[in-house]
Amino acid sequence: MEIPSVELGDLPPDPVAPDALQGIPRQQTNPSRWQGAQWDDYVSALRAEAIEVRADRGTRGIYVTDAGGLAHGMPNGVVVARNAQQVATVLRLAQRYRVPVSTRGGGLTTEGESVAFGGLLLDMTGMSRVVHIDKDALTVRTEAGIFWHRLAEVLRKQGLDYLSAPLNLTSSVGGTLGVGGIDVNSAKYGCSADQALSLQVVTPTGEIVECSDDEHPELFQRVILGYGQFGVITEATLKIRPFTPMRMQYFYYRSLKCAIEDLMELDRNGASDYSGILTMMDKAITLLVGFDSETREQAFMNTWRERLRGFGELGFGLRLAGYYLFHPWRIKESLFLWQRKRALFPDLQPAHHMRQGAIVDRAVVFSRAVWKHWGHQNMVIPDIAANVEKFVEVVERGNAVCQRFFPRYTLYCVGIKLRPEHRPHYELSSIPPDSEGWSYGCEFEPMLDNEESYSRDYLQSFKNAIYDIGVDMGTSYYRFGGMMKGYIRRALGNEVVDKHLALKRAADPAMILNRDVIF
Amino acid sequence: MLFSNSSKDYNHCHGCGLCALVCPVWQQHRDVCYTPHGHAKSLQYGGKIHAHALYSCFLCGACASICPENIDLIEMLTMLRRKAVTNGDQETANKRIQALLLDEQQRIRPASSEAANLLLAGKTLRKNEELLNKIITLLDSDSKVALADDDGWDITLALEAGVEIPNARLQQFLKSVQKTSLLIVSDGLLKHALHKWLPQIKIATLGQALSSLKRIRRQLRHTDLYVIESRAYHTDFDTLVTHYDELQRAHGCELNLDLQRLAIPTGGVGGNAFSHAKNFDTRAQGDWILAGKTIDRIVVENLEDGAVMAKVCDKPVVHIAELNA
Repeated sequence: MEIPSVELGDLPPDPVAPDALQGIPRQQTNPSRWQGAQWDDYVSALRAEAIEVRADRGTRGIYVTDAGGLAHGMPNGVVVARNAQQVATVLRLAQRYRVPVSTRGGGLTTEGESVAFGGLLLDMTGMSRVVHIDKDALTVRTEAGIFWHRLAEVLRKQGLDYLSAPLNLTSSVGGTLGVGGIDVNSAKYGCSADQALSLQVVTPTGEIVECSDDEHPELFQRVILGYGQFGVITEATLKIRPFTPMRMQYFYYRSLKCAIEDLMELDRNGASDYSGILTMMDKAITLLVGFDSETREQAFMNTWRERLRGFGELGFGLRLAGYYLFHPWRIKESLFLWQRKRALFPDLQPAHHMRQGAIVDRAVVFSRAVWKHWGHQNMVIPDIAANVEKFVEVVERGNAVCQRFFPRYTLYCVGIKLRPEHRPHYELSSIPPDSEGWSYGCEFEPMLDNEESYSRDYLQSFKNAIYDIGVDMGTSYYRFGGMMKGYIRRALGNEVVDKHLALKRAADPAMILNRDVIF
Repeated sequence: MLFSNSSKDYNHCHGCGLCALVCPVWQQHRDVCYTPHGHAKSLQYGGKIHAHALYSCFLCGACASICPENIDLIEMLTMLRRKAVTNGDQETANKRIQALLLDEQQRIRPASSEAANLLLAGKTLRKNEELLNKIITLLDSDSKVALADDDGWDITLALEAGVEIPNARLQQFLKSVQKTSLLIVSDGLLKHALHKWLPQIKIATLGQALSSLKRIRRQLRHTDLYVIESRAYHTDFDTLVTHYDELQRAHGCELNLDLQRLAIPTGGVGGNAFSHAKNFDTRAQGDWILAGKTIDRIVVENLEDGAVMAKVCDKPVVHIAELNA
């Protein structure tokens, strides 16, 4: 093996600077385990404040990994959050004893962001009560550890619904507000984090602060989409709306470019209430369009249907059959598509969730389908978030990477309407700084099953190959924390990262809160 | 494994947390240690499950119905209970259950039934002779159903408690019912086990059998809250979700279903062998079932559910068999 000589001065000064890692197949930034200094003193201090710290192996083991299943770390102990005062004590003492505290809601991160590599794990799901619903103002005040599913259950009792939430309902509200949250109606309402009107936050030094765009706006701006760096969200006031069932239409494409262009056109014109793209590789590309009422659906069908380049189910099926008739060596692929459609589509419209042609509780339906059809012990979902102009190229290049790595994969694309007044919230977040109007996200998800196994390095190489596209094109990512944090400076630049690092050091002197997620 | 034919166990849990979403015990404790997710993850990392968490569950089965990996969570939970009993973690409960089992076994007269269709009523229903007679009359007029003398209530108790079922006793029970073509079972845990022990026999829940009768259905009103017995419902979720969905479409009654279309248990069922009541607030649960519903009557499939709902509501509570005009 020939080892190229490296001249002094050729190495970049920053190992995560632009271009430092391109072409390197494996780059993981797993943090080292915290060594446990002053842990016993910290636990004694917590117990003196009547806070239960669980340190048995069984309890700690529950939190050893996240939905990604690639990062593993054992906390020294676990506290189930019960109220803001308790969380404040946990953080105040953590500063004193310099013990890292990792917060966790549903644990649905994929890059180890909710995994504690030692230190204390603060399980926020213990704070899961809805505090107050204001039917007139259409707002809800809730504890932030609540799962979106539970929030939906409580709201539905009064005929209400949240505005937008991740399709996976085991996400917690607090975790979602910290990273964004994308729904199939985000092109209309924006990301879930944009629905927050005010927050109760416990700062890394243990102060309990109410913040909003008017009250302590600097804290609000940093905590929203802040990846848990600037405080623990303990309560949130969110916008809500009257509940409506959803009517769905599906259009099928063979071209990613056409499907994405049509999606953007619909979003730009407010033609639908829900929209997104879900694919089976790049062979069957489905544009999903949904409506809150029959009137909206009818207006769409009258105005927009004929402008779309997608086919109906029958027309597309016939074209696909024709294609495979002339490509018989791809018979396995065609069988996969057929079986996948037969398995998946009934689960997207189960009879017991349908009323008069509309899906009742769409989020429940989609959430179950996500776990049933995409769930695996390793959830590998690298993504790219780009502005309108770059998005088609981003998806096409990402699709080529998927083809190179896996025989079966799914792409999921959705738009996010941006709110100009929230521009300060979007700093160092998944929203690309050069986006105007809408930004678009695409998740690139290999379909893993238990019969195929891939090494951790292989999966990481795939993620890197996707993220390298983002560096090359100047985009952002939804999942840039944890194991992918090496990309933050490369994608978003030193200036903004250094600004946030300085803010973080000021807010969290011992750097104890959610250490190694971003900083 | 005692009765599972599922190839998946706790090792297959990915930690999605869907089971916690629908777990009534989690909803009151807000502590993952009380959920199948918590148990499975603890076991994966060599932890020990605390008996009090294990016995707080009343095996309603909602978790098993929603698990995307199809892990037999009821089997996992009952297996863990057997382990806890073996380890002596549940000594007091164990003694109490052994005494109950002995009582029950002394009552049973060994006989194998020749009836085509049998009702396994269970102890609570047996104690209410008038209602039981009504049920038998209703079912018998429809499909010739006889009351099983040996209804396996001791086996239900043993399954629930994690106490070993003597093989001779199990065989005796199975022999007594294996010639029937339809078993109507009031308890879901027993039904769950019978599906695996006697896969060739058609098994229905009591609620399903009664709510299929036209003369009963005709009496349902759109202002009724129909409380499905959750443990039985979740043993055959895929079939029963359709059955009750049709019932609701046809009669407009409210159901105790959550957003996942799983039955919200009252907490009344499952506490007959040992008390979980100190860990679970059935009144709060009843209030949660009623929240947001405008009703003028509650119809129950199960007497324990009826008792809970009667405590939290001043509306009349009737058993479904009493709807027969």
